[in-house]
Amino acid sequence: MSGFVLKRLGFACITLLAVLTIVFFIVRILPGDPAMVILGDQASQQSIDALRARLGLDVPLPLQYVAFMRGVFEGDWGTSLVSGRPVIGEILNVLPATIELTLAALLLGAAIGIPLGVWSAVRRNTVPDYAVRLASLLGLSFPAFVSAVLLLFAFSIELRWFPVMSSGRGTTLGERLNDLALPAINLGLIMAAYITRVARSAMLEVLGQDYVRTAKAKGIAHATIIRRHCLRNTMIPVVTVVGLYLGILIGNSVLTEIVFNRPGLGRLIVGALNQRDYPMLQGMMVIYTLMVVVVNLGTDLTYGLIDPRIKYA
Amino acid sequence: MSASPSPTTVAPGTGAYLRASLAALGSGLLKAFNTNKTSWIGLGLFVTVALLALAAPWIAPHDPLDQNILKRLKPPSAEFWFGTDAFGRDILSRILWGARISLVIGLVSITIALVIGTAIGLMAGYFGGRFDIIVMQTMDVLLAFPSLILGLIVVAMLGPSVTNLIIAIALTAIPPFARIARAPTIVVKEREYIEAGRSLGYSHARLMGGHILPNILPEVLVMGSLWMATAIRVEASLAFIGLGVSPPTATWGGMIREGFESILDSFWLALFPSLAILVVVFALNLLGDGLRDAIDPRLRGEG
Repeated sequence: MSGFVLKRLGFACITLLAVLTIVFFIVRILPGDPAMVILGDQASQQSIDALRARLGLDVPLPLQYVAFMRGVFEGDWGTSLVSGRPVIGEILNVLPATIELTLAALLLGAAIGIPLGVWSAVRRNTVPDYAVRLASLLGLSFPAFVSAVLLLFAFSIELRWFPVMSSGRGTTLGERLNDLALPAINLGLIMAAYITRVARSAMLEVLGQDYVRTAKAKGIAHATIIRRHCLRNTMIPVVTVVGLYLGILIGNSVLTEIVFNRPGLGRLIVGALNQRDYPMLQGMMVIYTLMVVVVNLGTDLTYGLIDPRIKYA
Repeated sequence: MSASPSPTTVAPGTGAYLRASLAALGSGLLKAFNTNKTSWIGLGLFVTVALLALAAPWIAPHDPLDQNILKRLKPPSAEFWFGTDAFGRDILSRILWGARISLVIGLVSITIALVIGTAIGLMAGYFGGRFDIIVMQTMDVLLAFPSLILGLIVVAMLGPSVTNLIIAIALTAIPPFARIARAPTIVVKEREYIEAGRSLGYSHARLMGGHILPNILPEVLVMGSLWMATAIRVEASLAFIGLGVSPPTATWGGMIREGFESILDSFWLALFPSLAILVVVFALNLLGDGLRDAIDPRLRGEG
């Protein structure tokens, strides 16, 4: 087991370095001098030079690279051009709100998606199966902002069940849950659509296995076969694919946060884009990279937990 | 099975071979369509939208950019089927014209990603070894990065225009096509006819382009329709965030962005473009999903 963990950890480190390198170059390769973009055409050469120095763009590229990498690992991610505060502080400030939202959505998505997918597979090619498949396909056709606008319209404006603006700063548990409910439902339903499909096809795969036929031949009750022999094996692809869907989850969380006006990484990145806050953008890409690498590592390790066969790999 | 000559029975490298390859591809897709009838519904919906978009200059009841202050925020009526927006512009006409932007960006970006991604995956699978490992690791890393964020940053830096949106979306869609193309390539390259071609001294390019590509194309094309759905969704999302083709050009995402501001009293501003996006994305998903089930070898001949 420890060999497996070490190997995955090593691989995660390499991936992290590779993506950080890509992030470094994306910010620098794209046309347009950040200093000039920020200050505009009218700016004097002097002020452009001063800003370039402040952003660390006046030193040769290899030195910038070393400074960038060291900064990432030492927790110095630069200073926001807009607020003048450290980028890492601004990010850590809103990160809990985003993590809260995505975790709630994942839980909701799994709670709806896994049973629905399993049920659909067991009832293959019957009316319930067709209905679930169509509904899940429709669910993943929704751009997150469209479903968010519709939910907001129905439940906050027409029915007035939830606040139109979720502050994400509620103090009591009840307030926080009330703030979280609609955004989490929006994101959770979309995730449920993805998870249903994965769970369904994973379950179908398992149902076709020899050992399921053997179990059936032995006369074991249908429900017992599903519960004891199939569910655990269905979970393996579900966990992997949910890990792969992190990108979709993050993208949709950005849109959800914007529509519900909820503090989080989404609003931070859009603000940074509008203000051309380059250090902040770079910091956002670093945090997203970290999240992706950490979740992928977590997925790989969870794998090992669910599937005992992987231990010696 | 159709009676047309299969690519494996005709002398490779001839016109007849090419025709046979195309015919096999066509009949393969047709069979896939008939296996899963929902694909036809998806195709029908999509073609309808595409025709409406093409015909927009002739069928749109009003000029999509024509402002009329006296008729602003009018609810749906006989004159304005879907109502008017805050500038008094006809929403139906703007949706028809907006379809052109969505479809062009979706189609072109995915075609670019399909060509580049398939080439990368084909080469990685064909050559194998260290080249394969390095290329596919890179693709996996890119795949892990949230595509909306990548698109957001690329468009923000290049500036919002149709070309830049196409570049940004194509960039994010290359890795999945590389993965999709690689998997069947590894299987196909071990077949006897590839071996035969190799012993005849065919070049790598000829083997890959003429003999492997036609066999992996159905899978790639099916993924193309699913990814076009994603591309249209991403384009609309970027426009909603404010990074779409600049106003006053009509884009669906941009219309929802404007409509969202007055959703309290004029819901139709955001509702109709939302439905338009939903119809197109759903149609493409229906099309691709049905075809994928039909051509997936693991599901073939079952149920």
